[in-house]
Amino acid sequence: MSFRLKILLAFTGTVVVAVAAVAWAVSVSTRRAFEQMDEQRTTALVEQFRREFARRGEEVAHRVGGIADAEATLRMAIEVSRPQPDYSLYVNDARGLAAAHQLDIVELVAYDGTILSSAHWPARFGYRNSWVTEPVDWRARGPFLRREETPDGFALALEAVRYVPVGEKGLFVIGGQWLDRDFLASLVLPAGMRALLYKKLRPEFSTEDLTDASGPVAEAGKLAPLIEAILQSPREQVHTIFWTKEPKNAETFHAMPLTGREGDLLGVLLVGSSRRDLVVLQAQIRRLALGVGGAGVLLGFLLSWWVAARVSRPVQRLSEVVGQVAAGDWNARVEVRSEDEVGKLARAFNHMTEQLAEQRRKLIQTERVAAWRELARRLAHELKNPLFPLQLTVENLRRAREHNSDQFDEVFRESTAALLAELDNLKNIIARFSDFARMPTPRLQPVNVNELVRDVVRLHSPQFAAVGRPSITPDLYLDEQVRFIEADPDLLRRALDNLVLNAMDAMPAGGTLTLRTRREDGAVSIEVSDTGTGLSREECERLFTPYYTTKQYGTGLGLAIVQSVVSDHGGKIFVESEPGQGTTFRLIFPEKQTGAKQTGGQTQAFAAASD
Amino acid sequence: MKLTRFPFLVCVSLVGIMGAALSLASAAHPSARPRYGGTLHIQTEAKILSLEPAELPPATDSAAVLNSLTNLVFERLVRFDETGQLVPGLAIAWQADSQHRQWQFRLRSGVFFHDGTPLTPSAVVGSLERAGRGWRASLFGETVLIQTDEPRPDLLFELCQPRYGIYRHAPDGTLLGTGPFQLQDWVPGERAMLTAFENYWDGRPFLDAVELRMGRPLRHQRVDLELGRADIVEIPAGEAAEAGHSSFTVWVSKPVELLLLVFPEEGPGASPRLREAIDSAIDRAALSQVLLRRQGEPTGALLPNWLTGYGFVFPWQRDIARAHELFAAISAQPTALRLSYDSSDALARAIAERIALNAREVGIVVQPEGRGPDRPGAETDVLLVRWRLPVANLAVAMRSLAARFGMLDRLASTEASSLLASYEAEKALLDGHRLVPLVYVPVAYGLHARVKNWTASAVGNWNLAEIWLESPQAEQSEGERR
Repeated sequence: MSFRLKILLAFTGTVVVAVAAVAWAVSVSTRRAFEQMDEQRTTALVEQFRREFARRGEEVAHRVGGIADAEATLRMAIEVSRPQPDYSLYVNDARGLAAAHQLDIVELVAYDGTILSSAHWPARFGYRNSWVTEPVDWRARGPFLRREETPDGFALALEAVRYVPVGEKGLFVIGGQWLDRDFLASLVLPAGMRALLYKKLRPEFSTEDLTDASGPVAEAGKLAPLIEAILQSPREQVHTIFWTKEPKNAETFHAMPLTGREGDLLGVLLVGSSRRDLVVLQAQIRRLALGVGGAGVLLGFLLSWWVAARVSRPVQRLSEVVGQVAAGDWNARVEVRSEDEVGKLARAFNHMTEQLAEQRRKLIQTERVAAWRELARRLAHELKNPLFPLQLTVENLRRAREHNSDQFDEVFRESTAALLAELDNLKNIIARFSDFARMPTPRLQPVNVNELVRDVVRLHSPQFAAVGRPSITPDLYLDEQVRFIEADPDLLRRALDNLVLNAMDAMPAGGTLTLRTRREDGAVSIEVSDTGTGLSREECERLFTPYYTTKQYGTGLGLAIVQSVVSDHGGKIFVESEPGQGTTFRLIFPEKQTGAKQTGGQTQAFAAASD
Repeated sequence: MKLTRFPFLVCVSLVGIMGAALSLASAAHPSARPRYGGTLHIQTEAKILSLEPAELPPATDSAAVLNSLTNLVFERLVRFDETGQLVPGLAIAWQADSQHRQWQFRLRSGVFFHDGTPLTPSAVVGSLERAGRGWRASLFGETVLIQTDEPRPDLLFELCQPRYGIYRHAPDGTLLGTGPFQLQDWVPGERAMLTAFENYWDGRPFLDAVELRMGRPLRHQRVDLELGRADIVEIPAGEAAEAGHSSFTVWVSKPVELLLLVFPEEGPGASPRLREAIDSAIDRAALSQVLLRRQGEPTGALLPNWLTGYGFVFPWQRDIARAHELFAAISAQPTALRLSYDSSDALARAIAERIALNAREVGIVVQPEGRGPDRPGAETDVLLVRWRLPVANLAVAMRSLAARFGMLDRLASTEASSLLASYEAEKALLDGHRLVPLVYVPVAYGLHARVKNWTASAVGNWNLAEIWLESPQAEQSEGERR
């Protein structure tokens, strides 16, 4: 992940979190504020409803009072107070009074409770209305709720009673309005609010007894728990009903018990306030918050992008220059454009690069001198050994010539033979150096790796069990799935020979030589392991350096040649070794040659393997 | 308005009583000389769709109006007088054989159809043949002979029905009768215009014309009467007493219309015990005293007491204990009984609701249901209906009642003219309480002050032939005097 991307993500994440936090905080606080407002609104509406309800009661009482105070009513009271009154004269009067005073219920009742006329149930004339004759100050009593019997059953009514006294007798005027859907429809309620009425006409809850201004309430069963709770415990309760899964269809109900004159529960009035507006408003705010948040995030992302680009550009340039330096371009420099920390870093980097380049130049020079010295030492060492016998032979030949001519021929023959042998030796030495300097280009052809390994082991088998030295046991673990690879069989054999010889040299006390082939991911690996003395870490690091050897008589070219062969085949070479535990060389060759020569691969491979 | 109602009522009552007394006295005993001329305007709530006698149904709800109207245009061979006795009509004499299978009628002479052609036996035969049921009419010399296969002792009663009015068609299709008025204009169900028949055998009527408006609501009739646009209108029985305090005269008949409950033979109301329980629970006195303003007569009998004299024998008083006892003894108590009534009849509605309330005291649930005239009794458990006494004749009334409610089979004898037979017949009809009489109410008409010499039959049918109208000048001066 690039530095710019990290900065971008960091900035963007910060912006997103900040915007989300702000949006959440705004949303929560707004929702609470609206819920509080809605609660206050509902409370105000319920209060308004109560006042409206009380006003309607007062209106009923006022109208009943108007009937009672009328002259005609007084006349009627006088007439019915006389002996043997003719009640039939008044049987239809209640209907007229009800229509004139816009009341649903008007009953004219004689002092003894006999109904003279009834508007809502005209057939009740002559029957007794006992409750109205109770000793009550009806004028002070005010309006009240009552369960009224009708031809169709029972109904709730908001009623008032006035008494028109005539001496010891008199006339009761009962008036009222039905508490029904028409009553609910006549209430002045704000939009989004409705009133429901449950009439307790039977002991248990029934959906038939629940109505609103438009008639029976759909899905009234959902209100049953609330109503039943009030029927059991008559006190006001608030409950939210979710009519559907949509929150906007929810409705908050304030349920109020309706009691009669005796405090008996007659019904439940439910004032419902729709949550639609609140939910819609909340959704709008949520959408607005999401929009603003999204815009903020987008803006933050763009800003982050710009900031990240601005911040990371010098670092990226520094990284590129570092890459160039790492690739060997020691002249690469970072352009310093600012004096801030990044500018100081760039300047320090340039300074460091200059110092490193200088040190490298010096190191190369030093290494080159050291290499030439090593080469000179090696050449001197290699050439010194044959030269000394040559010198002795020549001196011996000269002495023989000077002192004993008879033996000169024999000495000459022996000396020339020795000279020739040593010259051959010198030639061999020179040839080996020459060979290393002129490694041939691989001639690729299909090579059976397993067969090649077996040939190499077979070739060296006599040496494994040579007389006079501890035996070496070869172990072969050849993967039969290893196929042919494209390689130069001579170079490959030469590399394996060198590794086997090195292993044999590493096991002067005998041991086990293990050769293993394996096919893995389009490549073939060949491992050569010994149980010899092993190498130190420093030895491993210099192992492939030309002319470096840990052996007393080695040229230091064997492993350099192996590395050269592997490299020329586009392969990799790894070495794993622990002092006293033996050493394992692992050569990896691609099955198909792509033509690309992987130079430097072994270095990486070694570094990886040696870590 | 209510503030001044009672003093107003008291004053108007006094004035009205005096005025009504004077008017009735004037109508019953005309002190002024009869006057020819004028058009009498009558309004009725009923609608008559056809006047042709042969097409008239045997019994209809508008039978009283129909009787009155057809009596003006068509005459029968025989007729009932005001007391319910058979008297000669177009036939001045008749005789029957001993088995009542052959009836011979001698016609009145000097009778003409409205087109001036004389009434002949052949015309009578033709008319009877068109309307006849189960008989054969033929000429027998100068007389008309009616022959039947079965003995028909009640044939004369049958011939009194409007459908046996003697008539014939003019070439243009106009109905021609022999009555005091002839049909001039006829719009079925709406209007009938009659003009005086100059050659009426019993003398030309005083009136020049009679206009009858049908299907007129009672409230509109009352307004038209008050405004002088009608001379005779119908007054609901319950309002008769109050209407008597108005500026017009109210004529009230004897109680001739019975309100009764009719239970179908099957259904939830089929239990005689349940019917009797309802019968016992009904407070008839309240119906009469309050709903009918004392104009009704509570009854447990089917025929009015003034006609039979034995009506009091049938109990009508409320017995709530008996009702409780009867209802409690019913094993399968019905959940509710639907009580149907004519939704256009305000009195019927009030009575139905009162009956429901009375029944509720016993525990019987009765649900009043107003029905239109097109389906008065469909899908109901009990019906509240009116039945109008057709004639002040015991036998005819009893047969008419039994026929109206499909109970002719309960009449043991075809001859029920005797008081005892009538009593037995009534007992038979009331047995099982399929019919529960409630109250007898009178019919009432509002008469404009210019209407003079008003007379009506015992059952409330008009007799317009003797009426005359006061002249406009006299009416104006009388109004000024009032």
